[in-house]
Amino acid sequence: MKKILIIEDDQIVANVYRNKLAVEGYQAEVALDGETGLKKMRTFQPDAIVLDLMLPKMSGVEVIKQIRSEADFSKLPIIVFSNTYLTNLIQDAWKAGATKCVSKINCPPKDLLELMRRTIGGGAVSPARLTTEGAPATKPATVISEADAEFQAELRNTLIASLPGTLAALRAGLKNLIKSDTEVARLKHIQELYRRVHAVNGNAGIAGLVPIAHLAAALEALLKELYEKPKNINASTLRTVAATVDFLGFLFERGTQPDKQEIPPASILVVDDEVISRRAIIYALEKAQLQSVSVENPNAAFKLLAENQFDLVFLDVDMPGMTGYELCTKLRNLPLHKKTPVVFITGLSDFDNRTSSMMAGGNDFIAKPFLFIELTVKALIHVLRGKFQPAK
Amino acid sequence: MKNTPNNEMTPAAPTAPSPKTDAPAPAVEVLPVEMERLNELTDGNADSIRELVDLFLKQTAQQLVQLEAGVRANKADDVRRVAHSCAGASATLGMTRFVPLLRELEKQGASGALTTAAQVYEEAAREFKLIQDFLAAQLNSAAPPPGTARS
Repeated sequence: MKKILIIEDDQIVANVYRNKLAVEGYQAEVALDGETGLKKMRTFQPDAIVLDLMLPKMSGVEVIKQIRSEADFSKLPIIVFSNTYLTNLIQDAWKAGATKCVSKINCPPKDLLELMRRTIGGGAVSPARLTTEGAPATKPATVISEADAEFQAELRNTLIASLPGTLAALRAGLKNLIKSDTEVARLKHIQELYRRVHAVNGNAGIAGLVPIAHLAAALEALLKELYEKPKNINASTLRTVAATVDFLGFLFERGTQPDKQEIPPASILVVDDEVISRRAIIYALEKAQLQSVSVENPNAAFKLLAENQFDLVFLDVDMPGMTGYELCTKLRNLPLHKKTPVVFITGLSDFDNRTSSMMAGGNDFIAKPFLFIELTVKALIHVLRGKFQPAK
Repeated sequence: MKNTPNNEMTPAAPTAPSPKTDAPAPAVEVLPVEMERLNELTDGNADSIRELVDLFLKQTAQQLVQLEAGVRANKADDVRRVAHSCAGASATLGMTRFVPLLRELEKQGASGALTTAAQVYEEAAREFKLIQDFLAAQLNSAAPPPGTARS
């Protein structure tokens, strides 16, 4: 029987994977941190390791390096679970010797199982899941067995039942963060909130609650950035964290139906007269795989808006010919854009002055220079809100 | 890093190496450019960094010419507008020491009184030269050995 070691700090996620692998004919063991995982690896002698990159104490990347430094395990397959928004960390994992990297956002147990079969073989292979060549089907979702569906539904229902408690804990963590008046206290509360959000990402990912997992992953990346670079903690970033926790609550209520688990395509317009700023906005949107159209001229933008539906608009404030505020006022008179979310991108010095933005009909603003991941989080919130909010 | 349809991720293109230095930098030194932001914006791809740096240097050189002209002609609104745009791009790319000088020019331009704008401009021009030198050193350290084709 093939043996798999799961190194994962979230007990629930680890147990779900272990049980699924055991049912399917693998011998699986769990370690809840990196050091324990390394010790267990030497005695258990697994055929593969499933590793969460975001571990407390010893990081996942350090664990990979240590595994690769030991002759007996230098070729051992290591399947890494990570957050797609933490691109640098994933690159570090590749460099350290990861065999495969998988996003936690959408990795139900059946997908891990398929991955294990492809990587090390073994397990009780269900014929329904394989092609005639014996290779795994490319779209396992289309041939999902009834038992898998039931298991997945049970998992989803269990998680949904726990969401009110999760939300209360997130709100309490946020309250502590907002109230903290020293950097030490702030960092402590950011780390606590980070751990909670990390768990939401993992749990929603295995339960197939994709929009929740997506937003939690983006928030996790933002909190990690704030923890590692405290100089970025300011009114803008804290406001974004608070808005995200609030919107997670919205998704907990309205984003759990089985037919709403795709990230919907969105059409986004970016208006900024400066090419490097435009590029930064587009880059931040692409982190969430959000496509956008960008223009430098506010008049050209208005023409586009008059003729096309957009789900979200980012507007620079200070542009020649027409300010972002003026453009926003004009677009509110267009039938297509009475309710389209508009986010202003403005200098930090302008941040405290919300009046102009609100008077012009804007919905939100972000301070320049923004953290790329902060803009990503904001875009996700507005796009998902538009898709989940019932039409008025 | 890209997501494949089955949710697995693939490695990105090779990343630019860190610059080689002879001695460790003092802990408190603020470098002209926060390379981390440039690296993040380009996913560490050496060719993309080079392209973005070229774009920034050309654009900023032109803006400094406009700023100098605006200061000399005492055209406060021109100074405000150009400094604002230049500050936005510079902040986006992590030009940590350059941005406050541009913000000061923007502020003086907005107030209509270019009182110390000439001195601030001179300081900004000097800082831009340091940025050019710093980025040239970074790009040279990331360049492939002579005779090696770049893909």
